[in-house]
Amino acid sequence: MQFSEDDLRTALKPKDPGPGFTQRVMARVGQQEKSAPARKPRRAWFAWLQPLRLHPAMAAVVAVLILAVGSLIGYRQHQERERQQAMLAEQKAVEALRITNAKLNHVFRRVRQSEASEPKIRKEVL
Amino acid sequence: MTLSYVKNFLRCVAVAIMLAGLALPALAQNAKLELKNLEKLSSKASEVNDITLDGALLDLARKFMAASHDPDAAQVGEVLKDLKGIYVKNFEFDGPNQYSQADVDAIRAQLAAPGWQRIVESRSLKSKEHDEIYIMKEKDVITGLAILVAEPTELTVVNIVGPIDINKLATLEGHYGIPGENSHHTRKKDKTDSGKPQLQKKEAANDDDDEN
Repeated sequence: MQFSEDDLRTALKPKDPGPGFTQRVMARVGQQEKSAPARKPRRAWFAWLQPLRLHPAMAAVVAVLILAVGSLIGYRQHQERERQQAMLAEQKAVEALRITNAKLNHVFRRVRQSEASEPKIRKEVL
Repeated sequence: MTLSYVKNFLRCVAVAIMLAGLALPALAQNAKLELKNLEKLSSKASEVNDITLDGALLDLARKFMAASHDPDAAQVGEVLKDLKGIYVKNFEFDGPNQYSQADVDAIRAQLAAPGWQRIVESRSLKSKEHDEIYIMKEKDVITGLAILVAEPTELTVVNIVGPIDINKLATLEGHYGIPGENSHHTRKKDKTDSGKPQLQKKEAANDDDDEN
């Protein structure tokens, strides 16, 4: 199928859209804006990182700093946990030794008392 | 023929050595007592002190005490130095007959095993109290200690595993919250203890009266 120049001219000839074309278009645009939710820009949350993409050295320094601070916080938390466990263990040890000591004293005192009191009673009974 | 016989013989010897090696730890004397049978008493007791301190926790306590600048802590650390474990079960009851003789006998049965030797026993029919101290010795070193105090309203089992110096333990008295002879904990007992001689004297006096 071939088109002549006249065909093209006829086809591309400007046509009058008719009266109220602008109003119709604007009304349709308004309807679409109402029906479609407003879209947020997708990459807004890491927009602050944009400068780092342009400066890789700065990005590396920031990454190292984040790692260092994270490690320090983790190490401090581990130390604190260990300190609390150690304090608990120390309290347990002291409590265990306290009971041991008290019971040893109790048994030895019992033995001393029975040794001291028995001959006396016999003597008094006799 | 001879070669296969020698091979079989060597194989038998190797198996025997392996079996002996496996059996050795079981034969070795262990000062740790099995105290699980007492756990059921926790629900009946009005006051429970259940302390299990061994392995990593004991190491941690030792390290913490060693790092402390408190001389008392250093002294306690010295006592704990070579210990492998401390196990304490102390139950105080509101009234008598809350624990059975079988509970105590289960512990005594373990202390009847070879290696343990009873060094102190105090038995009172009047106060229904039976106190015992056992030690486990290897050469001249005490490698285990067990204290069994069975009173009508209180049952205490202390089991210390590892080389312990009782003299060092005694030096802790009055330090670091560990009571001395006249402390509150022992004073509570003194009240009951002090009643005994008076009662005996009274009985003796009554006997005198009867005789007169």
